[in-house]
Amino acid sequence: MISDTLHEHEKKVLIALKTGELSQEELSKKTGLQGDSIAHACLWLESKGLVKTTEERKELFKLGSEGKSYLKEGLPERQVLSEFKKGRKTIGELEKALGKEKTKIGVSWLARQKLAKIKSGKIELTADGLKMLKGETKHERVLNMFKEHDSIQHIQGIEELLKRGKLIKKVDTVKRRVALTEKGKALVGKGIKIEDTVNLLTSRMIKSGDWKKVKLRPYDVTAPVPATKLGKRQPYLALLEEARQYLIAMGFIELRTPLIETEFWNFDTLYQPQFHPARTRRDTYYIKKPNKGEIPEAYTKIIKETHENGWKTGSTGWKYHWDPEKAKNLILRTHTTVSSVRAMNGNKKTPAKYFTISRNFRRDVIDATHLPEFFQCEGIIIQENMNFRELLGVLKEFAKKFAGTEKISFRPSYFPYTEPSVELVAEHPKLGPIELGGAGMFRPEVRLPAGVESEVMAWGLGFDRLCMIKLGIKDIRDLFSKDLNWLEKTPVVID
Amino acid sequence: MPKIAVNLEDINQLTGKDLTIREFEKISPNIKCEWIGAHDGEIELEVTHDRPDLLSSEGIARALRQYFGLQKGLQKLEFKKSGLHCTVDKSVLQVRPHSRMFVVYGVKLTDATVQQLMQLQEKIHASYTLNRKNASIGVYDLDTLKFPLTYKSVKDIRFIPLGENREMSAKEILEKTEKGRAYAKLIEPAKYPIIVDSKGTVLSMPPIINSEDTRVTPSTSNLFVDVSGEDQLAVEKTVTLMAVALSERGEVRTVSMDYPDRSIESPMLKKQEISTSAGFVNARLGLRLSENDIKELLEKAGFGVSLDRGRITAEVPCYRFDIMHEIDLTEEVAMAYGYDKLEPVFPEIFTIGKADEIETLSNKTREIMIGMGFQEVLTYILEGSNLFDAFNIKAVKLDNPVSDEHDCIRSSLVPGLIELLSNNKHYPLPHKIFEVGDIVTQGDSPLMERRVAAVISDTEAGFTLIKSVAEAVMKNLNSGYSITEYAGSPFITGRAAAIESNKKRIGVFGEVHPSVLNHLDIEHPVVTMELNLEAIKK
Repeated sequence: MISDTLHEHEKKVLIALKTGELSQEELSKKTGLQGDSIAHACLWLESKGLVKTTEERKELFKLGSEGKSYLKEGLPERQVLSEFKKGRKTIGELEKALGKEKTKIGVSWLARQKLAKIKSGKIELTADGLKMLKGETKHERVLNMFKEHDSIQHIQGIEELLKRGKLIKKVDTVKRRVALTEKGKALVGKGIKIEDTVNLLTSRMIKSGDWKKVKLRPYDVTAPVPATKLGKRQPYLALLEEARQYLIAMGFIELRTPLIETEFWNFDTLYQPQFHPARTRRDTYYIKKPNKGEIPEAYTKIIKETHENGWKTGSTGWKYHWDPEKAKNLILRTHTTVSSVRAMNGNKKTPAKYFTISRNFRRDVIDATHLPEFFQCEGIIIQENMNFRELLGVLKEFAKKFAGTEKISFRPSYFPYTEPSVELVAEHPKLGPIELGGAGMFRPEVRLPAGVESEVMAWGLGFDRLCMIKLGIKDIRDLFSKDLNWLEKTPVVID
Repeated sequence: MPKIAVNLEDINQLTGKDLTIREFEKISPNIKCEWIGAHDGEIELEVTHDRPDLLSSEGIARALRQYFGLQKGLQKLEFKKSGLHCTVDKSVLQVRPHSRMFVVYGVKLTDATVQQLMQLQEKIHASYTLNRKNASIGVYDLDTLKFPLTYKSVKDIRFIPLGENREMSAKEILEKTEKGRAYAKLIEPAKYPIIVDSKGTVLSMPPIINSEDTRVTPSTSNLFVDVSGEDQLAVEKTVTLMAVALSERGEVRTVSMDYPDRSIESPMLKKQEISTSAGFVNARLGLRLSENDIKELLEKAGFGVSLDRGRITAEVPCYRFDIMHEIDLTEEVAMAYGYDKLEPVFPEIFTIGKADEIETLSNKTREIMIGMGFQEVLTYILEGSNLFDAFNIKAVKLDNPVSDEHDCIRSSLVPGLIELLSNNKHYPLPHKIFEVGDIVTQGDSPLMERRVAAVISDTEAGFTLIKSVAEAVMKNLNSGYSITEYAGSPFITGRAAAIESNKKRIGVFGEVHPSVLNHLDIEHPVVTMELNLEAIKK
């Protein structure tokens, strides 16, 4: 029942209103509650549709600082009249009694109201002026109203007083009047009981058993409460973690390889020739100090031959002079494909599957679509006699899982380390084609020097675009958001 | 990947087709071109890096003719001799030793052809010649030249460079012209390679700039082309690409390159054969094609194919430099067959998955931090050395950063986290954030290390608070530790401590020095902790 959920203050207000509309001040007097409590109770009751408040805006007048003293001493012109009565008729005599300033103001007001004239330093009262020796001036009539009221409403002649500086001031006030609505009347009609209700259940009540003696007030469960702050995972990382769990569940072994690599591991082992434009200072970050790293001797010999003449891979090779010094340059890895080559070098068994989701670096200028560092989901499957159609089968499965679509297309593509190569494109119902990543079968020039006779399928998926869509982000920089408010507002469950 | 622009009308003229923009867009992925966009008949494409022969409309048109079956098998490319000579002087052999030239007769230069010619030069330069070092191309009006020519190296030379209105010395050209400044580092002073004709007219100073005297104009109908460079293979590939492209526009004829010890007719188109078998191709693609099917498909891709007792031998077109192994032929077969016709098959391969240990530990650490109410954030590994200087922390620097804001590799997670707080001044306190991520240690042999760092900013955040957090982390990671005094950046001395395990420092925590906070314009106290998770790994 609605009356059960009412706060004690609300109940008191309702009962007070039973006899009719009241102002909040009157309510305060009648219920004995403070102004704030009344205001809150009225607000709650209004939101429940039990009372309605009407606002009355009024122009009121109050005494100013001068007005207060004049109310006691009389206006300057009255003081002059009083002295006149006592026989002081010259300006000199008046100034002696009242001071220069007050005399000046008083005399000038008498003149302005046509109550007196000044003739050769002497005051002469007019007929009206003489009447005023006993009577009340217009100004005095207004001023005297404040003897009984703190504030008065607009009355005739008040404008003139307003012009007299700090005598009186105008204040705008709002008066709230509260009345029961039909719903409120019905509720009050049924009767409202004020019991000894308790808001907060305290430890003391529980221990002492006092809770048995009181009634715990039911709450309005729909009332708003302050938000709870919580710590949670970074939304982008949380999405990447889902992908990671999925790959582990699919039987992939997770890899972790260095961020700083030699060109050897990053490019040469992947059959990317030393004259390839990606291997320049324009595309790849080089390390200042130290700038050279170690490269494995035996593997280096094989890689040199592979590049120059194909070694035992059946390839013609790139037919150029391979320089071990260039291979030693330290760089920030440009792709996680290097993790896969490292995995192949350590791999002992077939079949085998490896993956990693980690960061890579390319020399891009940062803008809404480019970041100098980005996450890539990289993986390989090593299996004898695996074919290209099986790679397409794996990619199709990934598209289903990661992009939630079976509408995909495969496009010819090129990577120096795979052949055949393919690009996976998913059709987004609204945004059109989305490139999910590149893939291919590792070239013999890559897997044979790494000691793998079996076929190897390799893929690198970029989740940035998909995550941006899921998180409703337009600017890629927001994946690394610095905005705590956004991090807080983004829900844990993202679909 | 290089981007190029081609004109639809030009393409249609070269193919003899009447393609619309839409039709072209649909076909483009099949000829290894990524569609970027089109307006007013100008089409923008991205070409894969293995196919420099597709860098102009001549090559694109050839690929389209093959796609439509208008051109099958190996294209006959035989160039007649022009009878023209160029002497390669021994002075240039130490400077820029390799040179190849040819001429083209009867070229009709339209806006589209000039644009394609310039684009082809520019794209080859940018992507395949190490920016003109290994090879550079020059194109001239043949009718302004008097043969024989000489390619030599000189101490100095004066001529009017292309686009200038006065004669300049070699030194002036290198200092005052835009191209001169861009490529000056490719040649040595007083060893300037030049091509001159028999009247003494300078054609160019490769690889810097051509002369105004030999400029190609709209009325030019016969072209002379030279390619010179430091790398023979690059020079030969480049001259082949240029000659094959221009053979679509006019009649290409060879020039005799007279070296001190030998003469070469240029360009010499190299013949290359690669053989494979139906067994290999089918095993790689998961198809059951007959030898004849494969022959047909390779011919469609522009290869000359012969079958002999189970061997499929393909003669590779001279403009294709990406065919090195039978696996490359296999891809050609797959593309001609159509990727869209290849049915995907999911391979059921049983293996046991395994998470990396440090990733597992990272996730457990995240659980602890989130349990304490910290919000996870993600910051960049590439940070600004200005920021690290403000913290007085050393970090490995990049040799070629793009901007000051990302010119070093973080050696601590803390600066990035505290900087993040300065972006959240209006967010209500307390600020409690953490990150688990990789750093790279600074030193002679930089090492990647997984760390966790946490930061709290609040009106009264102090040492006690962060010590309590650090201890909660250590206890829940179930790792033995001791706390000792620590003095170092970015902490207030006397208000920082080290976490030690087996007498090694594995983490630090404490109150951040107000000078750092002032620098970052942060108005509330900040405490932080950082821990090396690799040291916790069991």
